[in-house]
Amino acid sequence: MKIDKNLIGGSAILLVLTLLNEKDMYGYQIIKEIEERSDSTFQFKEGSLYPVLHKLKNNGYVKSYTAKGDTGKNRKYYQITLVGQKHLKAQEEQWKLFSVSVNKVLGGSAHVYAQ
Amino acid sequence: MSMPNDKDKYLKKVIKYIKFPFDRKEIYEELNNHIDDRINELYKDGLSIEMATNKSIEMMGDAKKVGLELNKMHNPFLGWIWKISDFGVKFFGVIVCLIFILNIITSIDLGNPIKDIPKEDIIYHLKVNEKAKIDSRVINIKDILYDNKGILHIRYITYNSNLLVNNAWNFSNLGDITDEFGKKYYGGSSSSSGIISHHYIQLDGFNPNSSKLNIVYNQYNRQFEFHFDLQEGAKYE
Repeated sequence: MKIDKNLIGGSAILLVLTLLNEKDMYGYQIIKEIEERSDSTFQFKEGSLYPVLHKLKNNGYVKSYTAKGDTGKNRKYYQITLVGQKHLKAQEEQWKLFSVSVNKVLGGSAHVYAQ
Repeated sequence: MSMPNDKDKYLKKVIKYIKFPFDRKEIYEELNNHIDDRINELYKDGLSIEMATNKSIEMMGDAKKVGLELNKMHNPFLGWIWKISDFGVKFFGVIVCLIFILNIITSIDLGNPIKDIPKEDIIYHLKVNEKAKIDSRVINIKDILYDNKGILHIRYITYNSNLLVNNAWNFSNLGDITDEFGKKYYGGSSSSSGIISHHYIQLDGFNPNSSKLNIVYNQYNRQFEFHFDLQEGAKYE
């Protein structure tokens, strides 16, 4: 099943910050990571990643710098900030609570798999 | 049929929606790199360049939608404030440096007019190093020289003992200058201000028989006094 949507909204921020928390990445790298990890479940328009990245930057959750990537081309890398890490933590908590609650409604308390 | 200029067309359409002009180039380049990466990958997968380009642009999504979303994150109002304040800070920094350099140059350049007086004209030259302090401003008298034209030359410098405080004291006027007979002298003075201000006073018609020089400053509820024995050059040399 493929979920077609634009990469805008709360879940996008969670996804991007989670990836950047592992290492600094440029836009295309982020897209590739999401593609691979989700088995291409998220088929969003790739251009919609950049408003998310630039919003995160405006909020101070990430910062950017230019560096030569493995191909030797100049890339705009994004790096998570301390504020970003704190925000990620809060978002994760929220997401867990949300998914647990949704599962409770869908399957009754018997199917709850909280961590 | 898709060609590289289709990519350019797409990117130009996106940045058309960015109202803050200074961010356009960076956005163009970032998205351009992304599309190039996608084209490369699709090409490796076996697509022709044309098809890969076409597909890559399509995968980016509607140019107008992307442009409008990006524009929201590049607020021209904040952008301009940032731009102007950034320029302001740099401009201010350059000005401060220039003032500082000019200060140093004038401090050095104005030099010491005492040195220009020919030796044969000098009757006595006292190299004194007397200091007084008003608030954080130090007044340091350096030279007292009497020449054969009856002119008494006084050279002194003033500076702030605390560099962080820029106080307004100038001291191009040293207060009342008298000799032991109580005669008051007024003279022409010149100053250069800087981190160290240089001052130079010439008192015409100074009594050759005077053996004391009194400088008494009493203004704005602040005082200092200097008393010098003249004609006893050895005492200060």
